[in-house]
Amino acid sequence: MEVEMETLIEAAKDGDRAAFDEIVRRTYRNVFSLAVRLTGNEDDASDVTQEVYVRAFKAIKRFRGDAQISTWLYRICANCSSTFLKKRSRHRHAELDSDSSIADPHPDADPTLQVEGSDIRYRVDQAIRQLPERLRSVVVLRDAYDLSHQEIAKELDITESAAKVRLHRARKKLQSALGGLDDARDGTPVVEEAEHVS
Amino acid sequence: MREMAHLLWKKLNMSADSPMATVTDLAEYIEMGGLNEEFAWIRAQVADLRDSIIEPPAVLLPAIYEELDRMGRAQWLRSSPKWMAYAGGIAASAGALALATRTRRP
Repeated sequence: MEVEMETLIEAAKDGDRAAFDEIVRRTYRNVFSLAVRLTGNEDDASDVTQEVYVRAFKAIKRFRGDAQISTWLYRICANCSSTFLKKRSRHRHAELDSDSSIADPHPDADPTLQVEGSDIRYRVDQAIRQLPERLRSVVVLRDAYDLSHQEIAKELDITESAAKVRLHRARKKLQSALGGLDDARDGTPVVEEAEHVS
Repeated sequence: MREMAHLLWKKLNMSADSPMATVTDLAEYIEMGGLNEEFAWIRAQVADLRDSIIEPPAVLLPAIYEELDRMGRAQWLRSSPKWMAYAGGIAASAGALALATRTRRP
């Protein structure tokens, strides 16, 4: 029988390494997936994921359990990715700005990927990867991983207003990139509750 | 919308480093509420990505465990009084040896 996550967390807080290892085993796929979406590639995501667990290991005693541990790890991942991307951008000569086109000028030639290209999820994933880093982070954390504007702002070290503006721009760019797909949806509108910015 | 944004922008006297530094930025910000519905489909598609796992490389989990082991050892070494005494002894010996070597040098 699998041990409850809460039990593992308490054991890890008491210094049980095996318990922490088990938490890692249960969560690292999700953390890695988020890291890929934030950094845009698997190699950087591996480095970021490793850093996430090093920081989590150091801070596990301070985890209060107000949120799920996955959300806590996502926040650490957002912070690590942000730091990683800032460092990486310092070593680059040319950087895409937020107004750059989403369109990929070098589409992947892999035949498998071309077949998958007809899949909406694949195209959404690709469109997100083509977003500038500063927009991609916000839309992924908000719309895919459900972090609040406040949490996003804190982890990315930006203001809440900046997070909202970036989210809006990211959605606009995605809408532009996926415009044809939007028309092909099954006709069932997604019901949204009235809200200002969510 | 742009006229309204322009008036508001002038009134607020936004600083250059504000995320709403231009009239266009502010107009977009104001429009967000109305556009939420327009983005509903996009948001639903992006939300689906959470369930789509990207399989990590096989070496990642062992690498994480190894790093945690290394960090655990380093923490133990830093917190161990015995080790501190031992490290202090080595440093003192190395210093004495360096001094002796320098003295003998012509």
